[in-house]
Amino acid sequence: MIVCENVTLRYNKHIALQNVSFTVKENTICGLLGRNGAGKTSLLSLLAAYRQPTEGNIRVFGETPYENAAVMPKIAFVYGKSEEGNTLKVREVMELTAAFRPNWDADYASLLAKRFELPLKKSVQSLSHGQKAALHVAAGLAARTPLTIYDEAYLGMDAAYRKMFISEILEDYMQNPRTILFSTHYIDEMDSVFSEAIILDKGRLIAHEDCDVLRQKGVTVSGEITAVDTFSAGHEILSARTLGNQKEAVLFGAFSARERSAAASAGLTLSTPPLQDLFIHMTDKGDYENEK
Amino acid sequence: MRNNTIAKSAAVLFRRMYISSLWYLAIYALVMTILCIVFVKTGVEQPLDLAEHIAISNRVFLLVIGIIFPLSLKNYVAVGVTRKQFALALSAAALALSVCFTVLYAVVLLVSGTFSLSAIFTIFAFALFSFHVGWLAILGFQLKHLYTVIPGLVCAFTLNWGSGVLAQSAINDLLKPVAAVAATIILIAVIVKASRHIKISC
Amino acid sequence: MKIALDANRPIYLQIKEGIEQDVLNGVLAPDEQIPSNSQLVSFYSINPVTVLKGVNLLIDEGIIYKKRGLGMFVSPEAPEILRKRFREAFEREQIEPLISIAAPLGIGIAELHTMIDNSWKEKYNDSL
Repeated sequence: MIVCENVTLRYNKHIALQNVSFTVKENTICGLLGRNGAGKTSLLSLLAAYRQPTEGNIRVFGETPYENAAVMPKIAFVYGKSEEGNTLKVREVMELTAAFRPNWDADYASLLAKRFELPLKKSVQSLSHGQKAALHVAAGLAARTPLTIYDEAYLGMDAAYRKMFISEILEDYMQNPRTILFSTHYIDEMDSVFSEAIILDKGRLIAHEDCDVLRQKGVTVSGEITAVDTFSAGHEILSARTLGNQKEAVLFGAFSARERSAAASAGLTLSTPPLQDLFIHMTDKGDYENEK
Repeated sequence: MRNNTIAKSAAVLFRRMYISSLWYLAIYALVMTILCIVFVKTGVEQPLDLAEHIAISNRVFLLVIGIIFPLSLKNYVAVGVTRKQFALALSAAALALSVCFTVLYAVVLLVSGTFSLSAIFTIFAFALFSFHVGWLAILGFQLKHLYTVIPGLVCAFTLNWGSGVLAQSAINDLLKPVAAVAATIILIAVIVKASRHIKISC
Repeated sequence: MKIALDANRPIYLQIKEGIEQDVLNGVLAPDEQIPSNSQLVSFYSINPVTVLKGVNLLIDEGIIYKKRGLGMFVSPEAPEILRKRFREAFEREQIEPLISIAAPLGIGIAELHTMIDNSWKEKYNDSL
């Protein structure tokens, strides 16, 4: 449904994306993770037909999205738009969006406006950060486009709004399945939402996996220093720290059941690091891709 | 579906232009009234060629909205309108607005007894042309390259000056608007083609 | 039922285990309906695919069955299946390590029996 082949994006001298290739199937919620400047927004703006890649192919719904009158209406790009000087009222923005989105659900839009407590008569530029974000999200949800992209769409939202945002996305996704791309920095708060994750680091794609598979690739082993070192030998060590004679190391790679029970017998404790920790470690090591 | 989008966009854009125009007309009327009162009171002899003044004012107004309105492209791409569709819609809206102004102008001419078809046609053609000249100027900036900004501005200035010269010249009264319309069509083609390369930033 | 999910373990497994716990504890009786997929999604704020993974595992293992158009229900054999599985796990994960730890400490089998008797009496007051 989304196919990227060798996509490279250059802004004058700066290379934002380098040789990125992946495929996302229909009706999945896919998370896009990456440090600041990793290229997430660049990639998403390419998919949303905001700009063209310098090299490579992008196909959304089987066609190149850029300047494609058949595909562009099917994509909604929700991000922190600045809205400076936007004198339209909240209600007018909703109406404008409704006019151009064939799948617009007006009832759902009203419901969302109520849930997020959006003042319909206020002008957009006078809204708070959180309200602006809520408006963008509400418009994105009610548009019911087959592909919806959320680029840190929750920025400015307080924790309560973020929770509402997540539960709305899931609820709507269940009743009206669609493809959702979701970039976030709040990984531990939101990683349960996506079924697969794409990780970008410095413009390169360093991982694209089912979330559970990805999580299982990390192992936190803790115990006595020499035992941990023995166990870690031959595996990629993402990070390690010691306290007294105890050591905790995060390792990358698959471990068999036998290896795991051997670790247990050696008095070591094994656990799975949360995705956020795994992500931090993976993007700390710039040469992850080579070691893979 | 495609034509529907262009029509919808044109309608929304026209409505916005219409409201801006109402403000412009209101302020213009107010200023002119004040000026007239001032001139009468101070006894200054100012043979005000109202028709000419209105014509120039309109051209300036359309030039200015030709600069401002293309900047809303971002909002339309955001709802799935292509750049080409937007450009065609904006041209259509400008056309509709030019017609409105022409009608208004015709009324003024009728009232002042100086009605002439060529004058009507001229004002229509030059209004539309001015809009697209303004658009060309801003297009250079939207394309964000030094080699588009400068030529864009240069072309715009040249065309604007050129159209002023043309308007004042002694060339056949019917040829002037035809030239303006022809130039407009060329501009539209250039703008639509060039718009394809406008990158939207987030 | 799990109230909060643990970030350190696969979520689909936790969903599965939550239901298994409820069956073992009698909270969910045989032939009783389990929470629907949408209820689970809403409650935990997790992806439906994750829920489906866990639920499908339960179906594969015969813990639950699907009634077309109505939902998913606990199998009549589920409590027995689970008890058997947990017994085997108990023996493997609790008894064997217990013995491995006790022996080096010099605790003999008789002493072990006494320890167990005393602890049991203390906790359950002689009842079985």
